[in-house]
Amino acid sequence: MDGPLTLKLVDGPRCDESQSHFEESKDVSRKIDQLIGMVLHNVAIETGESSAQWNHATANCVLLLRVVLERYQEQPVLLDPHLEGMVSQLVEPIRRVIHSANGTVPGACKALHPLYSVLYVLCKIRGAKTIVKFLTHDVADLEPTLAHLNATPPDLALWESRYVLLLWLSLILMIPFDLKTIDSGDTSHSLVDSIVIQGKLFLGYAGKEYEGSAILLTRLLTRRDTVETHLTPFLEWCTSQALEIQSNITSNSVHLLRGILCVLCTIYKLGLRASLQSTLPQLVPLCMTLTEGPACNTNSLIKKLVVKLTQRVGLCFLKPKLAAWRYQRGSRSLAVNLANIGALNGKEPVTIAVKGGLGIASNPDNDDGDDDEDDVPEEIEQVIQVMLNGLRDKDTIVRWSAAKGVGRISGRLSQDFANEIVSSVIDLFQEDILPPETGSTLPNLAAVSDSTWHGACLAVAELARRGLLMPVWLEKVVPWISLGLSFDIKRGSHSIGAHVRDAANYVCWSFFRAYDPALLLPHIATLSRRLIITATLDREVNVRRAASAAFQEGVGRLGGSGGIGAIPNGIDIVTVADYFSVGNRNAAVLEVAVTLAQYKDYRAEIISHVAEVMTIHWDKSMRVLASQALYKMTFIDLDFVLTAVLPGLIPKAASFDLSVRHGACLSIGEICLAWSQIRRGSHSETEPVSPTKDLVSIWWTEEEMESVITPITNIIPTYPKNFLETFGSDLTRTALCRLVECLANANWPKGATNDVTSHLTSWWDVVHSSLANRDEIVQDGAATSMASLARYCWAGADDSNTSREQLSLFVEKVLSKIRFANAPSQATPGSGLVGGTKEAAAPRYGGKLTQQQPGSLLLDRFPRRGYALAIGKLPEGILRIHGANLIAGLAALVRAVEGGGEDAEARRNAAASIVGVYERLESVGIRKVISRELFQDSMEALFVGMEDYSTDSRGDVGSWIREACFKAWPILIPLFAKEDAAGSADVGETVYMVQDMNARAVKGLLRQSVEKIDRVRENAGIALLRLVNRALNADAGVKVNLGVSVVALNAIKEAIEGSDLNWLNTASVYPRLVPLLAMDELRDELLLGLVVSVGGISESLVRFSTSSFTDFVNSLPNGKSNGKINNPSLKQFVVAFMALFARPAYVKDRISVSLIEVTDVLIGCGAISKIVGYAMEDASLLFGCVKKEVFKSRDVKKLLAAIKVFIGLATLPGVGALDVRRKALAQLVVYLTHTYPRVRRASSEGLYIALTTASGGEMDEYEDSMEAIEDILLSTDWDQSVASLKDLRVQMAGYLRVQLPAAKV
Amino acid sequence: MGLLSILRKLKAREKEMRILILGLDNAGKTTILKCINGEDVSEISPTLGFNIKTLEHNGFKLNIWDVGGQKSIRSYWRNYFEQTDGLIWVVDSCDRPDRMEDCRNELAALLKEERLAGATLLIFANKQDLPSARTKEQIAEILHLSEIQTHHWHIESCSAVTGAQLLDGMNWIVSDIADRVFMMD
Repeated sequence: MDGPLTLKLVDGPRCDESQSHFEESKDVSRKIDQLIGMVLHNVAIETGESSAQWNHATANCVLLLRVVLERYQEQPVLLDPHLEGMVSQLVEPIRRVIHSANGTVPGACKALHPLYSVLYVLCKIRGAKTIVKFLTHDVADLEPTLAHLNATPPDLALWESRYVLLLWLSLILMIPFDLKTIDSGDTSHSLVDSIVIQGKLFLGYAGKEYEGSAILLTRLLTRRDTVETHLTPFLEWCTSQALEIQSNITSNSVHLLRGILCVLCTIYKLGLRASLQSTLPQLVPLCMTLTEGPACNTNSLIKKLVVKLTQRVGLCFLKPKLAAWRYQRGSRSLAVNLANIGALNGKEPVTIAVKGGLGIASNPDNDDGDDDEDDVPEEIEQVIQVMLNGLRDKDTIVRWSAAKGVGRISGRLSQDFANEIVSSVIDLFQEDILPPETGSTLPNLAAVSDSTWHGACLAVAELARRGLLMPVWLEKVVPWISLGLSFDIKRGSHSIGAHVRDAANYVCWSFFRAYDPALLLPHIATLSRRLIITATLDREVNVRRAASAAFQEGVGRLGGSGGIGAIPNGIDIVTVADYFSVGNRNAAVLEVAVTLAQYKDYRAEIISHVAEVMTIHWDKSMRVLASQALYKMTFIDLDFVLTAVLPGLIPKAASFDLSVRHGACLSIGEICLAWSQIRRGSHSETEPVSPTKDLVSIWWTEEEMESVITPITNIIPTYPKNFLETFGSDLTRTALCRLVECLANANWPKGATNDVTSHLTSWWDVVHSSLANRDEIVQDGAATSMASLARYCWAGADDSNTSREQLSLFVEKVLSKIRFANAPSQATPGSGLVGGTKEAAAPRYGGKLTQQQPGSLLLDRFPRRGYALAIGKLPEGILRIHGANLIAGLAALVRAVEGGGEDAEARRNAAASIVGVYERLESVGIRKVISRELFQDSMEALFVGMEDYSTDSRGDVGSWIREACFKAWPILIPLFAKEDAAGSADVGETVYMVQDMNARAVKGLLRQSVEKIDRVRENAGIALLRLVNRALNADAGVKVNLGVSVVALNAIKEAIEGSDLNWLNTASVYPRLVPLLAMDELRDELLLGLVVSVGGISESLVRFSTSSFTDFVNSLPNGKSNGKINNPSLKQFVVAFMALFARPAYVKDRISVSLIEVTDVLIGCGAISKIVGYAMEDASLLFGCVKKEVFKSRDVKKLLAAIKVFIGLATLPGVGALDVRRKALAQLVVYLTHTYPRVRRASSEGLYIALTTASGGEMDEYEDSMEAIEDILLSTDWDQSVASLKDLRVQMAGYLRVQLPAAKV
Repeated sequence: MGLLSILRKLKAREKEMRILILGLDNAGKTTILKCINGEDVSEISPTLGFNIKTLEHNGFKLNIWDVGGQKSIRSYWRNYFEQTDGLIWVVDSCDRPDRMEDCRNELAALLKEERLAGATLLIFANKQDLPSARTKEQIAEILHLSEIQTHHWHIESCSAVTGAQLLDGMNWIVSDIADRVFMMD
């Protein structure tokens, strides 16, 4: 209802393509004909309950028409040229039926319903008023239509029929003949009476019928031949009913009340004033009673109708007229102007008299103004009071209705009276205003009601639009509207007021349009500044756009370009802050507002608004934006910021209010950073500070030291501790860390306080304790902050002993945090970690790792994560000295498994930090700091991370670590290639990054890029492409040798390059990547990745990976390799696949079930039966692999998958497969007595399928005993105890002639 | 019912339409606006910026926007409260051939802007009072007007100095917009 929602109307996709034609008109017409055909067929059948198919078809047809027509909901006028055609097309068949005998058959009425539905859709889109005009209005229609309406079943679903019929009747009733003359007298009541009875009934309907009925009754009862006799009784009925319902309101009776109010509103709108005037005295008390009553308080629709009715009643008291005293801006007529020009053609220009001029009370013809004054009845006072109260209502619809009422009624009153109303409306703004807060000149709005302000704004706009707000009022109104532009009142954790700001913008816009520019001149300075601020700095997009439009209108009407005109630089601003540019909040603040702050006339207001209002905004993202904007604006006017902004912010830094201190700390930091950069020679935020000035210059003055610097330095040392511990501490910490970061980067004066180290100690305390916070966002901020602070304290510092000592202590502290309190346990099978490599690493660097430290395991997690993250950001100065220790610590952490549980976040952060450290060491020289051994160990850690498949309650948390690790390669491999190239110049140096490692990285990436998680696949694919492109691009600098053949690299590049590849779409990825299986050197790892996907569980993943996989397998040449290097034979492929079963346990355990499932896929696609002819042993080996895989397994999923494989193998065709078939059958028989009943059942079903579906005579040998076998398989209850099944198993083995293993469970 | 739908209803009831006057510099846009606004047209310097004038014509309220002389006019095509109903493209009929090329390209680019889809287009072949002026048929051909499918368009020759045929053009654009936007009742 309110502002923010309305945006959709303009921004909807439909709106943009303003359709100039009703494109589908022919289709629609054809469809309607088709629908008519069907409907008439149904009518003919007369039952209306005809075959469901027909009903379905008509419903579809209606739906289709609705969809097409509703496209025009936003611009319904486009339909206008076609409306008449469509309506008459629909109405003609209805009329024919109505006039036929079928017209009163309920079934036929029901059958006609689809046509009414379409008519209703038209009413909905274009408005009932417009559509009704096209209906027929023949006298002869009246009684049949009425009869038809009565015959329509009271089925709820048929409401559209009744609604349209009521509308139609309301039109027919406007016939100019006396109704008595056309009353055929068939019924006991007169025609009029029966319509009234019927109408009253419909008023109580819950559906839309009440609206139709209200119009019908109004038309009927305001006729000249009925008004005398029927109106008064009807009104009396309405009043008594309404009062009765009011006294005892129920959920049903409220519908009738709504209907009654609706019909009263219509009567008092359309009825003749003369005939209604006598009834007014009874209506006013009714309105008053209802306004006070319970119905209004609980039901906003009722309330709106009551306000509307009161307004109509009020209007009825007053003579309709256009207020003679109203304000009219001179409006010129185009034709008159041109005629003048034509007449004066060639002569000297003549100023043409302008009608209206400045337009104050333009019409001197004032004679009918005064004589009405005495006629104003007393009730009007009451009516106006209802309107004014309505403006305060909590519901928007009520406020709108009241605002319209205020406008309409004022227009019929004398100027004095209307002025009183205007004055009362303006008084609404003052309601509940508190005295200004100390230090502010603006009224305190904390206690006012947003509804009241919204209502008042609407009323002001309405009055201005009607010319009823005389120019003298502008002086009083403008200050309020100006406040309304930034109306924002805090309510708990958010605030309200967007609708008020929206409405205030609308008021401004309509002021610019309504008044002569000269009248607005005194106010334009205030308004234009407020509008600019709202257009760029408001939180809501619709408010920003509304303000931008209002400002544009102001410039267009009042003028202003460059430094001259009413609105200085107006045109430039209009161009910068337009509808589009203010659409995005970040851009509006950081680009548009910053640009506008360059204009002197607006600068102070903009910066002050950011500093005073935005920094304490309830929305955190607004506060962050404010601080970023202040950074940029400091570059525009440092003096202003230092003198007018910064002193105000400092006391807020430790405010009791969380939002205030958050915003203030962030802003102080940003301002100080900009300030320092400016003083150190940077002229804009993009220009870097010159390095020579970075550390030496003293960029502050003595005066500033005392007034600003010292207070800022002391913010953190004196910070209230409870803000860092209690609710909201995460936000406070983020802000303080940012403050420390900015001050450190600003090279803040170190000796600002008496004790050189005291403020630094507290700064470090904040950073250290925030790194240990459980919130990742806090940790992130603290990690960045620590890097800056460390650089500030130690980087490039003198090599004094104290400093070195401090640094060593710091590094030791950091390292201690990422160690484990207890020695990490050995990786256990299934934990997803490589046991072997970790054992190898432990002796070398494990000395520190195994140190015992006190502390709880769980509590240690958070600092461990935080510090692991922070190490990756430490400056090179520190890394040069302590890099080796840090890398060793990180590498150990990547592999660590903590007491059986895991800390995935810590390992992820550590992996990312390894990359960060190496990147930063580049400038120092990696080889100088890190030994080859340590280097390889750290790389090994990344490879271990690539194998991390740990899971916990959040799912595959290992994927975070894998991602962090594999993202390293495109960065590190080229980096090391460069290092090695530089290093190999020194004789005897060995290369660090060996090709073997690179190849492992490439293959690992390839494997991840076909795995099951979309996000991982995408990131791996992108990393792989970067790496491959770097290796193939000879011009990119030092050559990178990936240890993979160029052919293979090119094949990869070809497969994954191109914008058409969407990594998240499995249908797109697998067909392109699977063919790479043909490359010998890539096959193993790719296959490993694919197995996980093919054996996965999500449907689209399995479908596309499987189909690509089988396509590839089926394309392989059978028999001997055809000589092409890149095409293995099917046999080779199967052998390669079987090799996966021999992978070490830590790899295989994870994919075991998948492997078996893929085996089944291989059998299913016929690959095994193809090779079995010449390579029987492979099939046997495959059987062996699977059998071994499920040996002693207790995993039901795995067993069931294996049974599927055995079924497949048991049905392999051909003589050669006899041996495998036997083995598989034997295995199935064994499972008939498996411990798990589910396995027994699956096995028996499997045997049955295997024995009965084999087609090629493979099972012929069992033909004799088949009946007995089937009998056992089908009639046995396999859920009974194993002991009782043993005999059956022996029988089966005998029938199938298979050997059972001697010893069996 | 939101604010904007109410505005739309008001606009229909009060028969308001928004018209933009555009064209290359020195085409005579401001002269035309001043002329139809009944102001002195003898002295006109290049327009720096932008003017909105409200005029009445045939019962309609025209809000006419002149945004001459600016590099970026995108800002004016649309705002929060209203959309553009009509465009008046002013051409200097005596301009150099290369400028006519520019004129064609600018117009073609403008009509591609989707925010202007559906707006009625009136082309004024201005400066017909000068002897070297091309006829409106010639200009229609140079501008490839016959290729325009997306907009209702019409070309009218005129002279902003004498006021000749301005009325015809304005009559056309107002009635075309009225047919499109307002239901005659």
